[in-house]
Amino acid sequence: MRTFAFWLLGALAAFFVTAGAFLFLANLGSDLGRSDPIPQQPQSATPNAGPALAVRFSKSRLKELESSTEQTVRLYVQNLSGEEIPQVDLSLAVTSDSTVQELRRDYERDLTNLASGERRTVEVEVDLSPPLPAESQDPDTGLGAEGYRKIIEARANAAGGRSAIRTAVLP
Amino acid sequence: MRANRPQRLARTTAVLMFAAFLATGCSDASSVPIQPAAPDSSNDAAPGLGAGVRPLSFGPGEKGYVSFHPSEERLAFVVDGYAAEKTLDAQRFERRTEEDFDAAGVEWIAEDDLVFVGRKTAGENASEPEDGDSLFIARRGDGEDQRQRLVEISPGVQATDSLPGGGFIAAVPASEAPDGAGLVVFKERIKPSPGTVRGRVLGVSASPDGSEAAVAVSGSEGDVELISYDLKEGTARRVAQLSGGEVLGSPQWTEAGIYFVAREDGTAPYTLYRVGEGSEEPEQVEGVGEGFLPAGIEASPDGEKLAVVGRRNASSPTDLYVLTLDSGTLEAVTANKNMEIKTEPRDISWTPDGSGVVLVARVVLPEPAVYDAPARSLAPAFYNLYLAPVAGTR
Repeated sequence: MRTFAFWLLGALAAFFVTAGAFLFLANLGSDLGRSDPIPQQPQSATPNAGPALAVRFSKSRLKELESSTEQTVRLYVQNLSGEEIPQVDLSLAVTSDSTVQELRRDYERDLTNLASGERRTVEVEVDLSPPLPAESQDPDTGLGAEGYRKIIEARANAAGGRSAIRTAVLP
Repeated sequence: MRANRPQRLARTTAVLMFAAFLATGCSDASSVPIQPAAPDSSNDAAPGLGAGVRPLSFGPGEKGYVSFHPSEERLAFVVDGYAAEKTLDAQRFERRTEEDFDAAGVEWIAEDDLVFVGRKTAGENASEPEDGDSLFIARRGDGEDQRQRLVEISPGVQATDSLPGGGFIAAVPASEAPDGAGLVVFKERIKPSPGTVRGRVLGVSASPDGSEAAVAVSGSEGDVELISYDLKEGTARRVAQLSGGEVLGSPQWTEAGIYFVAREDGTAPYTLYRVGEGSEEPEQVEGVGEGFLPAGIEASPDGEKLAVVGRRNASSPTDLYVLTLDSGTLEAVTANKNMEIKTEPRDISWTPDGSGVVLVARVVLPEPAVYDAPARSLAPAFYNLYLAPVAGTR
Protein backbone atom coordinates (compact mmCIF):
# COMPACT_ATOMS: atom_id res chain seq x y z
CA MET A 1 0.00 0.00 0.00
CA ARG A 2 2.89 2.35 0.79
CA THR A 3 4.39 1.56 -2.57
CA PHE A 4 1.07 2.37 -4.22
CA ALA A 5 0.91 5.74 -2.42
CA PHE A 6 4.52 6.41 -3.37
CA TRP A 7 3.83 5.87 -7.07
CA LEU A 8 0.62 7.90 -6.98
CA LEU A 9 2.32 10.87 -5.30
CA GLY A 10 5.23 10.59 -7.70
CA ALA A 11 2.91 10.65 -10.68
CA LEU A 12 1.04 13.68 -9.32
CA ALA A 13 4.30 15.50 -8.62
CA ALA A 14 5.51 14.80 -12.14
CA PHE A 15 2.20 16.06 -13.49
CA PHE A 16 2.37 19.38 -11.64
CA VAL A 17 6.05 19.97 -12.35
CA THR A 18 5.53 19.39 -16.05
CA ALA A 19 2.34 21.43 -16.11
CA GLY A 20 4.17 24.27 -14.38
CA ALA A 21 6.98 24.09 -16.88
CA PHE A 22 4.54 24.30 -19.77
CA LEU A 23 2.70 27.23 -18.18
CA PHE A 24 6.03 29.00 -17.72
CA LEU A 25 6.93 28.42 -21.36
CA ALA A 26 3.49 29.60 -22.45
CA ASN A 27 3.94 32.87 -20.56
CA LEU A 28 7.32 33.34 -22.18
CA GLY A 29 5.59 32.92 -25.53
CA SER A 30 3.03 35.60 -24.74
CA ASP A 31 5.82 38.02 -23.83
CA LEU A 32 7.39 37.37 -27.22
CA GLY A 33 4.15 38.46 -28.79
CA ARG A 34 5.22 42.04 -28.31
CA SER A 35 7.79 41.60 -31.08
CA ASP A 36 5.43 39.70 -33.36
CA PRO A 37 6.39 40.71 -36.89
CA ILE A 38 2.78 40.46 -38.00
CA PRO A 39 1.18 43.76 -37.01
CA GLN A 40 -1.77 43.39 -34.69
CA GLN A 41 -4.88 45.49 -34.75
CA PRO A 42 -4.24 48.36 -32.32
CA GLN A 43 -6.37 48.25 -29.20
CA SER A 44 -8.81 51.10 -29.06
CA ALA A 45 -8.82 53.38 -26.08
CA THR A 46 -12.58 53.48 -26.00
CA PRO A 47 -14.80 50.51 -25.33
CA ASN A 48 -17.01 49.27 -28.17
CA ALA A 49 -14.93 51.29 -30.61
CA GLY A 50 -15.45 50.38 -34.25
CA PRO A 51 -16.99 51.84 -37.32
CA ALA A 52 -19.82 54.10 -36.32
CA LEU A 53 -21.25 54.10 -39.81
CA ALA A 54 -21.63 51.50 -42.51
CA VAL A 55 -22.59 52.00 -46.11
CA ARG A 56 -23.35 49.10 -48.42
CA PHE A 57 -24.53 48.63 -51.97
CA SER A 58 -27.43 46.42 -52.91
CA LYS A 59 -25.49 43.90 -55.00
CA SER A 60 -28.57 42.60 -56.75
CA ARG A 61 -29.40 46.13 -57.91
CA LEU A 62 -25.81 46.70 -59.03
CA LYS A 63 -26.14 43.78 -61.43
CA GLU A 64 -29.15 45.44 -63.04
CA LEU A 65 -27.36 48.71 -63.82
CA GLU A 66 -26.87 49.63 -67.45
CA SER A 67 -24.53 52.05 -69.11
CA SER A 68 -27.12 54.76 -69.64
CA THR A 69 -28.93 57.58 -67.90
CA GLU A 70 -31.53 57.27 -65.10
CA GLN A 71 -29.99 54.30 -63.32
CA THR A 72 -31.00 53.72 -59.72
CA VAL A 73 -28.32 52.77 -57.21
CA ARG A 74 -29.63 51.36 -53.94
CA LEU A 75 -27.55 51.78 -50.81
CA TYR A 76 -27.96 50.96 -47.16
CA VAL A 77 -26.60 53.35 -44.54
CA GLN A 78 -26.46 52.00 -41.01
CA ASN A 79 -25.73 53.66 -37.70
CA LEU A 80 -23.47 51.27 -35.80
CA SER A 81 -22.83 53.61 -32.90
CA GLY A 82 -24.68 53.58 -29.61
CA GLU A 83 -26.29 56.97 -30.15
CA GLU A 84 -28.41 58.76 -32.71
CA ILE A 85 -26.53 60.49 -35.52
CA PRO A 86 -28.33 63.77 -36.34
CA GLN A 87 -27.02 64.05 -39.88
CA VAL A 88 -25.20 61.85 -42.37
CA ASP A 89 -23.87 63.25 -45.65
CA LEU A 90 -23.98 60.59 -48.32
CA SER A 91 -22.05 61.29 -51.53
CA LEU A 92 -21.71 59.23 -54.68
CA ALA A 93 -19.08 59.79 -57.36
CA VAL A 94 -19.40 58.08 -60.73
CA THR A 95 -16.09 57.83 -62.58
CA SER A 96 -14.41 55.37 -64.92
CA ASP A 97 -11.19 53.40 -64.83
CA SER A 98 -9.85 55.59 -67.63
CA THR A 99 -8.05 58.53 -66.10
CA VAL A 100 -8.23 60.51 -69.34
CA GLN A 101 -11.91 59.96 -69.93
CA GLU A 102 -13.65 63.06 -68.58
CA LEU A 103 -16.27 61.29 -66.54
CA ARG A 104 -17.06 62.43 -63.04
CA ARG A 105 -20.58 62.85 -61.85
CA ASP A 106 -21.31 63.67 -58.23
CA TYR A 107 -24.49 63.08 -56.26
CA GLU A 108 -25.32 63.95 -52.67
CA ARG A 109 -28.02 63.02 -50.17
CA ASP A 110 -28.57 64.06 -46.57
CA LEU A 111 -29.89 61.62 -44.01
CA THR A 112 -31.18 63.00 -40.73
CA ASN A 113 -31.79 61.51 -37.31
CA LEU A 114 -30.35 58.07 -37.90
CA ALA A 115 -31.15 56.17 -34.72
CA SER A 116 -28.67 53.83 -33.09
CA GLY A 117 -28.66 50.56 -35.01
CA GLU A 118 -31.01 51.90 -37.69
CA ARG A 119 -30.37 50.87 -41.30
CA ARG A 120 -31.84 53.19 -43.86
CA THR A 121 -32.31 52.42 -47.54
CA VAL A 122 -31.33 55.18 -49.94
CA GLU A 123 -31.90 55.18 -53.69
CA VAL A 124 -29.94 57.55 -55.88
CA GLU A 125 -30.60 58.05 -59.57
CA VAL A 126 -27.31 58.34 -61.42
CA ASP A 127 -26.16 58.80 -64.98
CA LEU A 128 -23.95 55.91 -66.09
CA SER A 129 -23.88 56.83 -69.77
CA PRO A 130 -20.43 57.10 -71.28
CA PRO A 131 -19.13 60.56 -72.04
CA LEU A 132 -17.85 59.44 -75.43
CA PRO A 133 -19.50 60.51 -78.67
CA ALA A 134 -22.31 58.19 -79.66
CA GLU A 135 -20.57 57.00 -82.82
CA SER A 136 -17.68 55.55 -80.79
CA GLN A 137 -19.96 53.53 -78.52
CA ASP A 138 -20.69 49.88 -78.78
CA PRO A 139 -24.33 49.70 -79.97
CA ASP A 140 -24.96 46.57 -77.89
CA THR A 141 -23.48 47.59 -74.56
CA GLY A 142 -23.51 51.36 -74.84
CA LEU A 143 -19.90 51.34 -73.66
CA GLY A 144 -17.02 52.98 -75.40
CA ALA A 145 -15.05 50.82 -77.75
CA GLU A 146 -12.49 50.13 -75.03
CA GLY A 147 -15.13 48.94 -72.57
CA TYR A 148 -14.10 51.10 -69.65
CA ARG A 149 -15.16 49.96 -66.22
CA LYS A 150 -17.45 52.29 -64.30
CA ILE A 151 -16.68 53.17 -60.70
CA ILE A 152 -19.27 54.21 -58.11
CA GLU A 153 -17.67 55.43 -54.92
CA ALA A 154 -20.06 55.94 -51.98
CA ARG A 155 -19.00 57.86 -48.88
CA ALA A 156 -21.02 58.46 -45.73
CA ASN A 157 -19.77 61.18 -43.41
CA ALA A 158 -21.06 62.40 -40.06
CA ALA A 159 -19.84 64.76 -37.39
CA GLY A 160 -17.02 63.55 -35.18
CA GLY A 161 -15.01 62.06 -38.01
CA ARG A 162 -17.40 59.15 -38.44
CA SER A 163 -17.26 57.90 -42.01
CA ALA A 164 -17.63 54.87 -44.21
CA ILE A 165 -16.74 54.13 -47.80
CA ARG A 166 -17.63 51.51 -50.39
CA THR A 167 -16.52 51.33 -54.02
CA ALA A 168 -18.42 49.41 -56.64
CA VAL A 169 -16.65 48.56 -59.91
CA LEU A 170 -18.92 47.67 -62.78
CA PRO A 171 -17.61 45.49 -65.63
CA MET B 1 11.08 -8.35 -7.35
CA ARG B 2 7.76 -7.98 -9.16
CA ALA B 3 5.10 -5.37 -8.31
CA ASN B 4 1.75 -6.59 -7.16
CA ARG B 5 -1.48 -5.82 -9.04
CA PRO B 6 -2.39 -2.48 -7.29
CA GLN B 7 1.15 -1.28 -7.86
CA ARG B 8 1.05 -2.17 -11.53
CA LEU B 9 -2.35 -0.45 -11.83
CA ALA B 10 -1.04 2.71 -10.15
CA ARG B 11 2.03 2.81 -12.33
CA THR B 12 0.01 2.27 -15.46
CA THR B 13 -2.45 5.01 -14.48
CA ALA B 14 0.34 7.48 -13.77
CA VAL B 15 2.13 6.75 -17.02
CA LEU B 16 -1.12 7.08 -18.95
CA MET B 17 -1.95 10.40 -17.24
CA PHE B 18 1.50 11.74 -17.96
CA ALA B 19 1.42 10.55 -21.54
CA ALA B 20 -2.05 12.04 -21.98
CA PHE B 21 -0.88 15.31 -20.53
CA LEU B 22 2.15 15.44 -22.79
CA ALA B 23 0.08 14.49 -25.78
CA THR B 24 -2.65 17.07 -25.19
CA GLY B 25 -0.14 19.70 -24.11
CA CYS B 26 2.05 19.21 -27.17
CA SER B 27 -0.79 19.05 -29.63
CA ASP B 28 -2.35 22.16 -28.16
CA ALA B 29 0.91 24.06 -28.42
CA SER B 30 1.49 23.03 -31.99
CA SER B 31 -2.04 23.88 -33.11
CA VAL B 32 -1.76 27.54 -32.22
CA PRO B 33 0.59 28.96 -34.84
CA ILE B 34 0.72 32.67 -35.47
CA GLN B 35 -2.19 33.23 -37.75
CA PRO B 36 -1.40 35.23 -40.87
CA ALA B 37 -3.41 38.34 -41.42
CA ALA B 38 -6.73 37.50 -43.02
CA PRO B 39 -7.16 38.62 -46.62
CA ASP B 40 -8.83 41.97 -46.67
CA SER B 41 -10.63 43.15 -49.74
CA SER B 42 -9.77 46.71 -48.83
CA ASN B 43 -6.06 46.27 -49.51
CA ASP B 44 -6.34 43.65 -52.23
CA ALA B 45 -4.03 41.19 -50.51
CA ALA B 46 -5.00 38.38 -52.87
CA PRO B 47 -4.85 39.55 -56.44
CA GLY B 48 -5.03 36.05 -57.85
CA LEU B 49 -1.58 35.87 -59.44
CA GLY B 50 -0.07 33.48 -56.91
CA ALA B 51 2.16 33.64 -53.86
CA GLY B 52 4.77 36.37 -53.69
CA VAL B 53 3.32 38.51 -56.46
CA ARG B 54 2.63 42.01 -55.18
CA PRO B 55 1.11 45.14 -56.69
CA LEU B 56 3.38 48.07 -57.47
CA SER B 57 0.64 50.50 -58.45
CA PHE B 58 -2.92 51.23 -57.42
CA GLY B 59 -6.00 52.97 -58.68
CA PRO B 60 -7.72 53.44 -62.03
CA GLY B 61 -5.83 53.97 -65.27
CA GLU B 62 -4.50 51.44 -67.74
CA LYS B 63 -0.79 51.04 -67.12
CA GLY B 64 1.75 49.57 -69.49
CA TYR B 65 5.16 49.99 -71.19
CA VAL B 66 7.22 49.57 -68.03
CA SER B 67 10.80 50.84 -67.87
CA PHE B 68 13.02 50.34 -64.81
CA HIS B 69 15.56 52.86 -63.58
CA PRO B 70 18.98 51.14 -63.32
CA SER B 71 18.93 51.67 -59.54
CA GLU B 72 15.81 49.45 -59.31
CA GLU B 73 14.31 52.06 -56.98
CA ARG B 74 12.17 53.76 -59.60
CA LEU B 75 10.17 52.79 -62.61
CA ALA B 76 8.46 54.69 -65.39
CA PHE B 77 5.40 53.61 -67.33
CA VAL B 78 2.55 54.84 -69.47
CA VAL B 79 -0.92 55.42 -67.98
CA ASP B 80 -3.82 56.08 -70.35
CA GLY B 81 -1.54 57.86 -72.82
CA TYR B 82 0.62 59.87 -70.44
CA ALA B 83 3.98 59.02 -68.89
CA ALA B 84 4.41 58.59 -65.15
CA GLU B 85 7.08 57.53 -62.71
CA LYS B 86 7.19 56.33 -59.13
CA THR B 87 9.51 54.88 -56.58
CA LEU B 88 9.07 51.15 -56.28
CA ASP B 89 7.17 51.09 -52.99
CA ALA B 90 5.25 54.35 -53.27
CA GLN B 91 1.51 54.03 -53.76
CA ARG B 92 1.18 57.22 -55.79
CA PHE B 93 2.91 58.06 -59.03
CA GLU B 94 3.98 61.34 -60.57
CA ARG B 95 2.72 62.42 -63.94
CA ARG B 96 5.55 63.41 -66.30
CA THR B 97 3.77 64.48 -69.48
CA GLU B 98 0.89 66.89 -70.02
CA GLU B 99 -2.46 66.61 -71.77
CA ASP B 100 -1.05 67.86 -75.07
CA PHE B 101 1.23 64.84 -75.44
CA ASP B 102 0.17 61.32 -76.39
CA ALA B 103 2.77 59.02 -74.85
CA ALA B 104 3.32 55.59 -76.38
CA GLY B 105 6.43 54.73 -74.37
CA VAL B 106 8.96 56.02 -71.89
CA GLU B 107 12.64 55.15 -71.35
CA TRP B 108 15.24 56.15 -68.74
CA ILE B 109 18.27 57.83 -70.26
CA ALA B 110 20.23 59.05 -67.22
CA GLU B 111 19.92 59.51 -63.49
CA ASP B 112 16.83 61.71 -63.57
CA ASP B 113 16.01 62.05 -67.23
CA LEU B 114 13.32 60.29 -69.17
CA VAL B 115 12.89 60.08 -72.91
CA PHE B 116 9.30 59.92 -74.11
CA VAL B 117 8.07 58.13 -77.18
CA GLY B 118 4.95 59.74 -78.59
CA ARG B 119 3.61 62.81 -80.31
CA LYS B 120 2.36 66.29 -79.56
CA THR B 121 -1.41 66.54 -80.00
CA ALA B 122 -1.85 70.28 -79.60
CA GLY B 123 0.01 73.54 -79.92
CA GLU B 124 3.24 74.15 -81.74
CA ASN B 125 4.77 71.03 -83.37
CA ALA B 126 1.52 69.05 -83.06
CA SER B 127 1.46 66.03 -85.36
CA GLU B 128 -1.06 63.54 -86.67
CA PRO B 129 -1.09 59.84 -85.68
CA GLU B 130 -0.09 58.79 -89.21
CA ASP B 131 3.13 60.81 -88.81
CA GLY B 132 4.31 58.25 -86.30
CA ASP B 133 5.94 58.73 -82.92
CA SER B 134 8.99 60.81 -82.10
CA LEU B 135 11.49 60.89 -79.26
CA PHE B 136 11.22 63.76 -76.79
CA ILE B 137 13.27 64.72 -73.79
CA ALA B 138 12.07 66.93 -70.94
CA ARG B 139 14.00 70.15 -70.43
CA ARG B 140 13.36 72.79 -67.83
CA GLY B 141 12.80 76.29 -69.19
CA ASP B 142 15.24 79.13 -68.68
CA GLY B 143 14.84 82.18 -66.49
CA GLU B 144 11.50 82.58 -64.77
CA ASP B 145 9.84 79.93 -66.91
CA GLN B 146 11.00 76.79 -65.11
CA ARG B 147 8.19 74.63 -66.44
CA GLN B 148 9.14 71.37 -67.98
CA ARG B 149 9.03 71.41 -71.77
CA LEU B 150 9.30 68.52 -74.13
CA VAL B 151 11.93 68.95 -76.80
CA GLU B 152 11.87 66.67 -79.85
CA ILE B 153 15.20 64.95 -80.33
CA SER B 154 14.31 62.54 -83.14
CA PRO B 155 11.23 62.34 -85.37
CA GLY B 156 9.72 59.18 -86.78
CA VAL B 157 11.04 56.70 -84.23
CA GLN B 158 10.31 53.14 -85.37
CA ALA B 159 11.15 51.01 -82.32
CA THR B 160 12.85 51.28 -78.93
CA ASP B 161 14.02 48.91 -76.22
CA SER B 162 15.62 49.35 -72.81
CA LEU B 163 19.29 48.45 -72.36
CA PRO B 164 20.06 46.11 -69.47
CA GLY B 165 22.46 48.51 -67.73
CA GLY B 166 20.37 51.63 -68.28
CA GLY B 167 19.63 53.71 -71.35
CA PHE B 168 17.91 52.41 -74.43
CA ILE B 169 18.31 51.66 -78.11
CA ALA B 170 16.11 53.26 -80.78
CA ALA B 171 15.59 52.77 -84.49
CA VAL B 172 15.18 56.15 -86.20
CA PRO B 173 14.96 57.19 -89.86
CA ALA B 174 18.35 57.32 -91.54
CA SER B 175 19.04 60.59 -93.32
CA GLU B 176 21.39 58.93 -95.80
CA ALA B 177 18.96 56.10 -96.66
CA PRO B 178 15.31 57.16 -97.11
CA ASP B 179 14.08 53.55 -97.02
CA GLY B 180 16.25 52.56 -94.11
CA ALA B 181 16.79 53.18 -90.42
CA GLY B 182 19.67 53.91 -88.16
CA LEU B 183 20.22 52.43 -84.72
CA VAL B 184 21.10 54.82 -81.92
CA VAL B 185 22.16 53.91 -78.39
CA PHE B 186 21.11 56.43 -75.74
CA LYS B 187 23.10 55.98 -72.56
CA GLU B 188 25.32 58.54 -70.86
CA ARG B 189 25.59 60.04 -74.33
CA ILE B 190 23.90 59.55 -77.67
CA LYS B 191 25.85 57.10 -79.79
CA PRO B 192 24.63 56.45 -83.36
CA SER B 193 25.72 53.13 -84.79
CA PRO B 194 27.46 53.26 -88.15
CA GLY B 195 25.56 51.93 -91.13
CA THR B 196 21.85 51.58 -91.74
CA VAL B 197 19.24 48.86 -91.70
CA ARG B 198 17.24 48.53 -94.93
CA GLY B 199 13.48 48.57 -94.44
CA ARG B 200 11.24 49.64 -91.59
CA VAL B 201 12.27 48.40 -88.16
CA LEU B 202 9.44 46.55 -86.41
CA GLY B 203 11.31 45.71 -83.24
CA VAL B 204 14.80 45.90 -81.74
CA SER B 205 16.64 44.64 -78.66
CA ALA B 206 20.28 44.87 -77.61
CA SER B 207 22.71 42.40 -76.07
CA PRO B 208 23.62 42.89 -72.40
CA ASP B 209 26.96 44.50 -73.31
CA GLY B 210 25.33 46.76 -75.89
CA SER B 211 27.55 45.54 -78.72
CA GLU B 212 24.92 43.71 -80.75
CA ALA B 213 21.24 44.06 -81.55
CA ALA B 214 18.50 41.78 -82.77
CA VAL B 215 16.31 43.60 -85.27
CA ALA B 216 13.06 42.69 -87.04
CA VAL B 217 12.69 44.54 -90.32
CA SER B 218 9.75 44.79 -92.71
CA GLY B 219 10.99 44.43 -96.27
CA SER B 220 9.55 46.06 -99.37
CA GLU B 221 7.74 42.89 -100.45
CA GLY B 222 6.00 42.32 -97.14
CA ASP B 223 8.54 39.84 -95.86
CA VAL B 224 9.94 40.11 -92.38
CA GLU B 225 13.68 39.75 -91.90
CA LEU B 226 15.47 39.09 -88.64
CA ILE B 227 18.89 40.69 -88.46
CA SER B 228 21.78 40.38 -86.07
CA TYR B 229 23.39 43.81 -86.08
CA ASP B 230 26.91 44.67 -84.87
CA LEU B 231 26.43 48.09 -83.29
CA LYS B 232 30.16 48.93 -83.26
CA GLU B 233 30.96 47.94 -86.82
CA GLY B 234 27.56 48.77 -88.30
CA THR B 235 27.33 45.45 -90.08
CA ALA B 236 24.15 43.41 -90.45
CA ARG B 237 23.73 39.66 -90.83
CA ARG B 238 20.40 38.18 -91.82
CA VAL B 239 19.50 35.30 -89.52
CA ALA B 240 16.00 34.51 -90.78
CA GLN B 241 13.46 35.52 -93.37
CA LEU B 242 9.72 35.03 -92.85
CA SER B 243 7.72 35.12 -96.07
CA GLY B 244 4.28 36.53 -95.38
CA GLY B 245 4.68 36.09 -91.65
CA GLU B 246 4.15 38.39 -88.69
CA VAL B 247 6.51 39.05 -85.82
CA LEU B 248 5.03 40.03 -82.46
CA GLY B 249 7.09 42.61 -80.60
CA SER B 250 10.86 42.73 -80.66
CA PRO B 251 13.16 39.77 -81.29
CA GLN B 252 15.19 39.15 -78.14
CA TRP B 253 18.96 38.87 -78.15
CA THR B 254 20.05 36.16 -75.70
CA GLU B 255 23.10 34.08 -74.87
CA ALA B 256 21.47 31.17 -76.69
CA GLY B 257 20.59 32.99 -79.89
CA ILE B 258 17.77 35.23 -81.01
CA TYR B 259 14.27 34.40 -79.79
CA PHE B 260 11.13 35.78 -81.38
CA VAL B 261 7.38 35.22 -81.53
CA ALA B 262 5.90 34.91 -85.02
CA ARG B 263 3.16 33.31 -87.03
CA GLU B 264 2.93 32.30 -90.66
CA ASP B 265 -0.15 34.34 -91.48
CA GLY B 266 -2.73 36.54 -89.82
CA THR B 267 -4.88 33.69 -88.56
CA ALA B 268 -2.40 31.10 -87.34
CA PRO B 269 -1.46 31.03 -83.65
CA TYR B 270 1.83 32.61 -82.63
CA THR B 271 4.82 30.36 -81.96
CA LEU B 272 8.08 30.92 -80.09
CA TYR B 273 11.12 30.49 -82.32
CA ARG B 274 14.87 30.52 -81.84
CA VAL B 275 17.71 31.12 -84.27
CA GLY B 276 21.00 29.81 -82.95
CA GLU B 277 24.41 31.33 -83.47
CA GLY B 278 25.50 30.89 -87.11
CA SER B 279 22.15 29.47 -88.17
CA GLU B 280 19.67 30.95 -90.63
CA GLU B 281 16.93 28.44 -89.92
CA PRO B 282 14.47 29.31 -87.13
CA GLU B 283 13.44 26.37 -84.98
CA GLN B 284 10.44 26.08 -82.69
CA VAL B 285 11.40 26.27 -79.04
CA GLU B 286 10.53 22.86 -77.65
CA GLY B 287 11.06 23.77 -74.00
CA VAL B 288 7.69 25.52 -73.79
CA GLY B 289 5.83 22.36 -74.76
CA GLU B 290 3.51 21.51 -77.61
CA GLY B 291 0.54 23.82 -78.02
CA PHE B 292 2.08 26.68 -76.03
CA LEU B 293 0.67 30.07 -77.08
CA PRO B 294 3.24 32.84 -76.52
CA ALA B 295 2.67 36.59 -76.60
CA GLY B 296 5.08 39.14 -75.08
CA ILE B 297 8.66 38.02 -74.45
CA GLU B 298 11.67 39.73 -72.88
CA ALA B 299 15.20 38.50 -72.28
CA SER B 300 16.62 38.82 -68.78
CA PRO B 301 19.35 41.43 -68.19
CA ASP B 302 22.06 38.73 -68.33
CA GLY B 303 20.57 37.21 -71.48
CA GLU B 304 20.28 33.77 -69.87
CA LYS B 305 16.51 33.65 -69.31
CA LEU B 306 13.43 34.59 -71.28
CA ALA B 307 10.23 35.90 -69.70
CA VAL B 308 7.21 34.78 -71.70
CA VAL B 309 3.58 35.77 -71.24
CA GLY B 310 1.47 33.02 -72.69
CA ARG B 311 -0.77 30.01 -72.23
CA ARG B 312 0.18 26.36 -71.90
CA ASN B 313 -2.58 25.57 -74.36
CA ALA B 314 -5.76 27.10 -75.72
CA SER B 315 -7.76 26.25 -72.60
CA SER B 316 -5.16 27.39 -70.04
CA PRO B 317 -5.15 30.79 -68.34
CA THR B 318 -2.58 33.37 -69.37
CA ASP B 319 0.44 33.29 -67.09
CA LEU B 320 3.97 34.60 -66.88
CA TYR B 321 6.63 31.95 -67.49
CA VAL B 322 10.41 32.03 -67.41
CA LEU B 323 12.39 29.86 -69.82
CA THR B 324 15.91 29.02 -68.66
CA LEU B 325 17.75 28.96 -71.95
CA ASP B 326 20.67 26.63 -71.28
CA SER B 327 18.49 23.88 -69.79
CA GLY B 328 15.35 24.60 -71.78
CA THR B 329 13.16 24.37 -68.68
CA LEU B 330 10.00 26.42 -68.40
CA GLU B 331 8.70 27.53 -65.01
CA ALA B 332 5.45 29.29 -64.23
CA VAL B 333 6.10 32.50 -62.30
CA THR B 334 2.43 33.33 -61.73
CA ALA B 335 -0.51 31.11 -60.84
CA ASN B 336 -3.33 33.00 -62.47
CA LYS B 337 -6.82 32.16 -61.32
CA ASN B 338 -8.96 35.17 -62.11
CA MET B 339 -6.80 37.87 -63.66
CA GLU B 340 -6.48 39.34 -67.13
CA ILE B 341 -2.76 39.65 -67.83
CA LYS B 342 -1.84 42.10 -70.56
CA THR B 343 0.03 40.38 -73.36
CA GLU B 344 1.51 43.30 -75.29
CA PRO B 345 5.27 42.92 -75.76
CA ARG B 346 6.26 45.98 -73.71
CA ASP B 347 3.92 45.18 -70.83
CA ILE B 348 6.50 42.99 -69.12
CA SER B 349 9.87 44.15 -67.82
CA TRP B 350 12.67 42.48 -65.88
CA THR B 351 14.02 44.19 -62.81
CA PRO B 352 17.61 45.35 -63.50
CA ASP B 353 19.06 42.61 -61.26
CA GLY B 354 16.95 39.91 -62.91
CA SER B 355 15.25 38.90 -59.66
CA GLY B 356 11.73 39.58 -60.86
CA VAL B 357 9.46 40.57 -63.69
CA VAL B 358 6.86 43.33 -63.69
CA LEU B 359 3.63 42.60 -65.51
CA VAL B 360 0.29 44.34 -65.91
CA ALA B 361 -2.99 42.72 -64.87
CA ARG B 362 -6.47 43.28 -63.54
CA VAL B 363 -9.13 41.03 -62.10
CA VAL B 364 -11.76 39.48 -64.34
CA LEU B 365 -15.12 41.06 -63.56
CA PRO B 366 -18.06 39.04 -64.82
CA GLU B 367 -20.31 41.06 -62.50
CA PRO B 368 -19.99 44.13 -60.27
CA ALA B 369 -17.48 43.93 -57.45
CA VAL B 370 -17.63 45.91 -54.22
CA TYR B 371 -14.59 46.94 -52.18
CA ASP B 372 -14.37 48.70 -48.82
CA ALA B 373 -11.72 51.19 -49.92
CA PRO B 374 -11.56 54.19 -52.24
CA ALA B 375 -10.84 53.49 -55.90
CA ARG B 376 -7.38 55.07 -55.72
CA SER B 377 -6.31 52.38 -53.21
CA LEU B 378 -7.49 49.40 -55.23
CA ALA B 379 -5.08 47.36 -57.32
CA PRO B 380 -6.80 44.36 -58.92
CA ALA B 381 -9.94 46.15 -60.07
CA PHE B 382 -7.91 48.08 -62.66
CA TYR B 383 -4.88 47.44 -64.86
CA ASN B 384 -1.99 47.77 -62.43
CA LEU B 385 1.65 46.77 -62.20
CA TYR B 386 2.64 43.61 -60.33
CA LEU B 387 6.10 42.41 -59.39
CA ALA B 388 6.54 38.65 -59.70
CA PRO B 389 9.70 37.24 -58.10
CA VAL B 390 11.59 34.75 -60.25
CA ALA B 391 12.78 31.61 -58.46
CA GLY B 392 16.46 30.83 -58.51
CA THR B 393 17.54 34.45 -58.65
CA ARG B 394 18.99 36.34 -55.75
